[in-house]
Amino acid sequence: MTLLSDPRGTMPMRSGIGEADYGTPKSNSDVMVSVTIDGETHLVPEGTSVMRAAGENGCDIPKLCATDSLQPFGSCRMCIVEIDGRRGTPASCTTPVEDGMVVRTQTTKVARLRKNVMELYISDHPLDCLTCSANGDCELQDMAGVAGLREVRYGMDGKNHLDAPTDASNPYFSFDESKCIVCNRCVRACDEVQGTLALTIEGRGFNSKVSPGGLNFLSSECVSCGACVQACPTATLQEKSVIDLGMPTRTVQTTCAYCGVGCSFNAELRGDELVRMVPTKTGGANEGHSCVKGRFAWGYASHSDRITKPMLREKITDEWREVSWDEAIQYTATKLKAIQEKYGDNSIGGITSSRCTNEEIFVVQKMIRAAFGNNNVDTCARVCHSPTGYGLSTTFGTSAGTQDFKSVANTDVIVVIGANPTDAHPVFASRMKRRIRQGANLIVIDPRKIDLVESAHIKADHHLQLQPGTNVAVINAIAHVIATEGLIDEEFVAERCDPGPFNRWRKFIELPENSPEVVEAQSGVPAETIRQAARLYATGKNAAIYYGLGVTEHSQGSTMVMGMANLAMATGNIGRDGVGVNPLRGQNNVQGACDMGSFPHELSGYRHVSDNAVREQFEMLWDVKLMSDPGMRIPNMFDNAISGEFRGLFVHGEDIAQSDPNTKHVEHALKSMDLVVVQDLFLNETSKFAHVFLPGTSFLEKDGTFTNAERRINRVRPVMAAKNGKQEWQIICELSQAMGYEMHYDNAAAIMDEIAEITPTFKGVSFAMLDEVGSVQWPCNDAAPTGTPIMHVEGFVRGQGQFMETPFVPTEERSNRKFPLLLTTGRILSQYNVGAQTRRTANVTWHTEDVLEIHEADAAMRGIVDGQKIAVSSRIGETILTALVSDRVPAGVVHTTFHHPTSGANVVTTEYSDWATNCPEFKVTAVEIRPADSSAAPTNTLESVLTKA
Amino acid sequence: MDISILTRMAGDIEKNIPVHEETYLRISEHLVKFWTPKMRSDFYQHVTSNRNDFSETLNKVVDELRAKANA
Repeated sequence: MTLLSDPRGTMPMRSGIGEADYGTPKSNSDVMVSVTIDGETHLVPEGTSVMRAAGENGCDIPKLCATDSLQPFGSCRMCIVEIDGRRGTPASCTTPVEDGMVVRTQTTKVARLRKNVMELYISDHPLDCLTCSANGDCELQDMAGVAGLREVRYGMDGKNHLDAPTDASNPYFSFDESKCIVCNRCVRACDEVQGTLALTIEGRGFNSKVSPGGLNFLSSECVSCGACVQACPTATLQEKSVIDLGMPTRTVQTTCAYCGVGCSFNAELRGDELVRMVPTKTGGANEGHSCVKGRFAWGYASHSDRITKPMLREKITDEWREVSWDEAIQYTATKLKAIQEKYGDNSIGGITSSRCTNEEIFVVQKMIRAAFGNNNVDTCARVCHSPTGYGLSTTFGTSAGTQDFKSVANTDVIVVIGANPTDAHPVFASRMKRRIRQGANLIVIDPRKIDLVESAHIKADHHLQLQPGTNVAVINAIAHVIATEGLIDEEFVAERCDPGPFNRWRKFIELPENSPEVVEAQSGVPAETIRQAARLYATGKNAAIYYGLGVTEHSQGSTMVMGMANLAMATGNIGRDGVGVNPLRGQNNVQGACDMGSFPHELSGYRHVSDNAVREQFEMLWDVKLMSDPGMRIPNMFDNAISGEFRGLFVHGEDIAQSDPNTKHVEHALKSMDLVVVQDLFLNETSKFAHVFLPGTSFLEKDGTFTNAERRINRVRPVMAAKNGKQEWQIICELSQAMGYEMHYDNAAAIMDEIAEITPTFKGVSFAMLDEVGSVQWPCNDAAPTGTPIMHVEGFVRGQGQFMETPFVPTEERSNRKFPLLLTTGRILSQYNVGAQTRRTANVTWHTEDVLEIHEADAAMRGIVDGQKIAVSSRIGETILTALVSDRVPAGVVHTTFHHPTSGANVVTTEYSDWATNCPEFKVTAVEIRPADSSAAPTNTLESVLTKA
Repeated sequence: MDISILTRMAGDIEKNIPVHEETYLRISEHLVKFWTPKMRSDFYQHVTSNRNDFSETLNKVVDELRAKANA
């Protein structure tokens, strides 16, 4: 029998095109040891495996079960070597180098043994290499070549697995059991990299097989992160896109456009066709890991719903008509100028998008300030993390998280507040879970029992399951315990913080009203649980807080951010590895949108528009007079539209009619305007009220940068040509020029050059620099030329840390007899934000509609059963959702998502908002539910409202 | 912009800033830093015309800011 082996004779690189695989993880030891491999002596860090030491020095040892993203396993026996003074042939992957060790990797003996091992593997493997989807990217094929295998003495007639079935249940990859060599890499990837532990080896000996818990992949606990597919050395686990399209031939490194983790990916193409997205091992944020969205859900970019030509209509009841770019730009500019002439300079404004690049965002806010001549620019961060900006800048001096993601590996006590990382920031969640499995303690503060509270090998030490709206009471109670039990880090506070505000805070926080016993009655969290959590946080060595929109989207969102900052300062948990206060940003470029001067009161780099010196720099550079007063926030724009003062809006990549609260109010505002311009990929809920639609570019077409939640600036490179024919920054420049303000750049790099010139924290950033180093975390300037992974190390950005008193003020949105339940909203793993992207991918397999989670007692009281259609009503509106009876929510609390326009969760959310920033209070809405007649249309769903409109 | 919205916003700010001798300064700073000139002037005018509907602190805020604006 002749084998169809790959003749290349090169070593495997299944990690992605051009990325080497050294077989075992890198050692971080500073101690170097000497090892002689095949006659050459090398110095390598202590703890390095023999396999890695050889590989790093140009001597590749054959392997199958080893890959450098996983701990060594030592099962395949392909990597055996001979070591002087050792008996037998030890596995090089599990053998660490020792000083003076002499290794021989290519002896006749090991060659013979490897060939024998390979022969056994191949005796139970299909010999269909030429037609196999992994042909050219198969480590088994490569190793057969390296071992020099030419025939299999045992034949193929014996007992084998060649007829084993293929599991194609997952929409993105298939599992062909007949090709499995049971190397365990997929199982270990699921355990070690992803931390879901969905896979196992079932059976023993010859009957051993990989199994997703006895089910098929789709029905199992698999989260489709792709780690197993990436780890598989054969075609057993293979992307369906590779099976359909063939093996990619070239790669472009870029950055994911979903959540704020900002994973680096190699977009792998065959010709001009994107075949797959493979997480980049050298990506600073993700280090080779991915989630189902970034890894697989990119098909929306080529979806037939994409609008690629500009469109106009006089009235929102008219049909759209396609027009040329020139006509669209001129029409928009003429209309905007006419509105300003009639209603004044302040009658128009715009909204920037956190899904766009820094360069696009920068030119949009520049256009508004320079061409519109006002500061009426805001960003979608208004409705998510604006309280982070307020709270962290007030206490620490800058509007950003304090740590890099890697920092969590040195955390001893992880505190997760109002965030659901396994669903919303899955790649960071995997880092977090790895640390928890290693022994870090975990405190979860959330009304909902999120996965981190209890899942495979993870159990929170404390779950503070508070009533929605009582965050500040609970954080104050934790601080009260720390202050009254002598747990304050007095030395840190004395050295680093402003004593006046600290003393005042201390007096405030020690008041009996902040005691756990008082707060128990307000929050529902047992006083003793609060006390234990406080002691753990204060005494657990390195404690770090990670938080999400469950903190910010409250009437006291900013107060809560300051409360967390107080805790970190009081316990000295700031300014070093493993600690800090870290917002988990919802969208890919929320951080960047804020950095770029998207807020109406701030220019880029968080400098207030009233600062004459700063404003003059911009005026000089831009050659235009700028306004010194803040402009309107998004809710101000809506309110002023309804009152007739605000008449024209440019909406850049945000679906405000679906994502903002109190849909009816938003729609009223949009309908009140004379001109609404939407720039986006698809017609969306907002475009139903638009007069101009300007087609945008997907992340696969953009050229620029995103800044993730750890302040990491990553390059976004065009993978395919822009389907609309233009980069978005070009469109903005053309509109600006048509408005009368000349704006021209040769390319996106030139925009970054301008950002760097005018923004101190970006001073050292350029495309050339990013292309050289991969990514950098701001501040990046003369003081920190290689960036700043951890902030506030020597001192706070504002000088001394400022404690702020944080009185608990209960929200006015309370449950009552008419609306006895509290609704809180969130996200799920497979869908993203308003779903515009993920609903246009196979991710709908997992989530076809928004559902309402309800406690069984609340359901039983109302005669509601699982799967039943229920009407959800608040004082604002009513919608219909499907009931999911669940123990994730406590009695009295219900939860839903807002990914689908048909359910329109924001039809019921209210006008209440954070006192400091007007970030909407999405997380607390008093509602009542009742069984709905499935044939009855809800009275005020988004859809029904839009139909009427 | 409906004056009731501005009144509610100002009330929220006042409730959330702890009571001290300089509370009015923090509220003033907040309004200057984050509110548009039109929002501020509408609010000042409304407070001045309806003093009894507002707290002593908000009255003081408005008086100080008006004085500054006219200086």
